[in-house]
Amino acid sequence: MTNQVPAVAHLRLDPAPTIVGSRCGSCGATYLLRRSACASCGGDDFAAGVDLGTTGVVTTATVVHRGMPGVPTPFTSGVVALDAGGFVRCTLTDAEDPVAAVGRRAVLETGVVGTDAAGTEAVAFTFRVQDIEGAPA
Amino acid sequence: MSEPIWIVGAEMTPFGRFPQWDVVDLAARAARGAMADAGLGIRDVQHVAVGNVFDAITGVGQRMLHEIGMTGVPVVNVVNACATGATAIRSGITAIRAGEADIALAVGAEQLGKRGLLAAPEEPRGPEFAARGRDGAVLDTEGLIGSALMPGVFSEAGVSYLAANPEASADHFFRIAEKNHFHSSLNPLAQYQKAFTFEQVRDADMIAWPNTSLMCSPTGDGAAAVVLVNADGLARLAPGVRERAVKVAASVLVSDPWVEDAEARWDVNGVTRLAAAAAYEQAGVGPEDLDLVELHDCFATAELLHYENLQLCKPGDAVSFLESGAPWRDGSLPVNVSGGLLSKGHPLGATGVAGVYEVVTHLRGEAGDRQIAGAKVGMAHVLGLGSACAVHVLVR
Repeated sequence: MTNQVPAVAHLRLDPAPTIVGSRCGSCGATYLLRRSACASCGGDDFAAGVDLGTTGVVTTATVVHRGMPGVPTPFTSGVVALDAGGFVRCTLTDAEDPVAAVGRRAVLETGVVGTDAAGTEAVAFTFRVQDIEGAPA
Repeated sequence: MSEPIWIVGAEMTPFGRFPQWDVVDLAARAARGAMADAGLGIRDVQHVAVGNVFDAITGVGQRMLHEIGMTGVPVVNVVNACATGATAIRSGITAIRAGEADIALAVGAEQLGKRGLLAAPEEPRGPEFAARGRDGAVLDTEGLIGSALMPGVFSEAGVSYLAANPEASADHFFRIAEKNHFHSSLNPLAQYQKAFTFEQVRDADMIAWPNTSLMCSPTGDGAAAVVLVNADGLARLAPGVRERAVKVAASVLVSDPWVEDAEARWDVNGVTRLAAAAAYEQAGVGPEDLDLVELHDCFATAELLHYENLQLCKPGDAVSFLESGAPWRDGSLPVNVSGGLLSKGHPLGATGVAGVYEVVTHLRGEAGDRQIAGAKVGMAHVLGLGSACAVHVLVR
């Protein structure tokens, strides 16, 4: 079986793909990235590896037409407020109209984005924006 | 009450692309111009603060003094993202208020060249995946997991405003760029100095919706400088210089307050609101007292947001403020009559000083064709993501 690793540490692949983070034990602030202490209250008592789920609401978006060399464009970049707390920067799919995407629900999807010299696959994620009824927009 | 501070000398080089000059040439030219404007020489200066981003590790301040006068005074080299120049000014003010100087020189300079999207280059990666950075990325994620580049950041900020304010549309952002490009046509120091129509702005190359290329500040080179004094320093100056002095009614620098989505996006609003409120309190003036504002329009979307963040209008009224014509140079509260970052240019380290230079020039009545008649009170605002926000209120 091909070995797979998440493209970023806040994506957990097993047993099923989900976003993970940490939660401040003092104030409840939620984070996805490695931290020294809580930016909200200064506390350092964190619950780590918290499952933040696969769904949320789009809070902002833009369609990027000019990117770094080698980056295919256009693509939609945005932020999703996860239902279980925390905010994740991501690429959005089915979100060609960024203003219309704001406020809509979005669901995590994953896919292989690269393979290294040892044959290990990197898995990244996007969020697919849903229409009001919950189907892809 | 803090000790009063005045600006008694101000200078700005043209902004543009000057491959024949290095950052020290630019800094030296601005510094000498500001000192000459104040009737001072380098041996009168007791503290030097120099803001620069991309050459900061080389000691631009000391290298500048090697060119214009090695006097042994303290030199502070400042980096604070796009608020670097304003932070240098604040460093000079702080040195004076600490009792270490009566006369300080603050310079902002940048030899930016054509650096494009200003992304930090990724270190080369090995042949096998290895986690790196705070997100533990095993490969470059820009464009793969969203975008963290500046055009995307400020476009997202604009989209958030559009989503929350149905009366707003991309047309309003296009209109802001049209305004600032028109304003720069009267500024001989601006990088562009060319008016563009609404349609030209709208139909230019799209960078990140809704910002087209004419709605993104250009990269470029330039420098600006000011001479700062306290009452003792002011007393040493010639009467003609003292008469042109501009008082620093407020000098505020803040970092961003906590917001719950800070990991995922830069908050361009809260940090500006915090700085503006502190500046009005410190200056003892309100937005209704302002005659002109130079604000940080690094992208056209940012300017509309800052109308509200800087309290130039009530919350939710940015569109009506713009549509009223208020921020045009013949409006009730002219904004970015220099052309702003969009058209005057944005050599990072110089920008914060250049905004203060512009306001000082108007308050002195020396802005030539672009003069705002009778200007007595002005504001200069810059925002560096990370974040650092500086607001200066100047009074004549």
